[in-house]
Amino acid sequence: MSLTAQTSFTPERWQGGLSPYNQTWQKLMMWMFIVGDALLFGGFLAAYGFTRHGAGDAWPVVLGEGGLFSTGLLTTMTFVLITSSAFMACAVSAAKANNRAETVKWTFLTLAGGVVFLGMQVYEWSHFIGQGARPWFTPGGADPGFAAYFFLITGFHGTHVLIGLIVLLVTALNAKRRPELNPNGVEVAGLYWHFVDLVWVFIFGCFYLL
Amino acid sequence: MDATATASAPNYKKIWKAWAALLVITVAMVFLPHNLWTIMIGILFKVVIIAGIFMDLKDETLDFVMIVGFNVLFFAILLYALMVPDGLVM
Repeated sequence: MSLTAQTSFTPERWQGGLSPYNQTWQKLMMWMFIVGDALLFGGFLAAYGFTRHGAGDAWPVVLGEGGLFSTGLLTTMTFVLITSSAFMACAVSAAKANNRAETVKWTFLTLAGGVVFLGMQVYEWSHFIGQGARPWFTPGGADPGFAAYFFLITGFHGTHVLIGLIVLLVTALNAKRRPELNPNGVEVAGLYWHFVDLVWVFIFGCFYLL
Repeated sequence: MDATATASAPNYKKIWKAWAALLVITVAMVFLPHNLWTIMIGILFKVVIIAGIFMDLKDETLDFVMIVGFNVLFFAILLYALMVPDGLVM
């Protein structure tokens, strides 16, 4: 196809100019990744629901009195991740306003929130393993499927958090050192971090509260 | 972005309002009596806030929101719809 033919293609509903949906390709690809990853977590949670339904009364009490985990710890973890996500939204807002100092500050605060969350998750895992839990064994004679899904789902989420921390570190250092601030890079990193928060909303609701 | 562009004051107000709403919903989900439906409604509100405000989806074009939202919704419904009949007979 000639260049003339390509540029003369202007259907009525196309409003994205030369980029799809008026997005940069980085942002569009991040969204496509998020959609795919959301379905992966959706599959995990659907399988978890299926197993839990089949287990009936053999399923352990997760939170509250006699539960495997501390309500306070889990609520604090959620608070930390939500706050970290808000910090990231501030970083994106600052980057769009071309405010380098604020962008760097909020990105490092986001990073700190992520480190605290991951530390709490490590504590939760070590506590659960200390109770005798293994991927094939749930303490207290409960259905072994619980421990298997716990390690799978929270482990997969924790891996996402760890990757997010590396992305945030690179983003923060780029914002601090590079001669030009790149708002698009900060926004794409932010999308990933908010997605990690979004997944936790489902895990917290479906896995711990129900 | 042009390196010589001047910095302006970003607006954080809507972000912290969203943060406060998320915290209220979380506390309500944990400490108030809950069941499947209240948890699902809580999750739905939180998803709308995070995707809409933090991820700026509310400022995107309708086409883009449909592409992202419809994909996830369609496949999630398909996933659950295919599993539910088997789950109910267990």
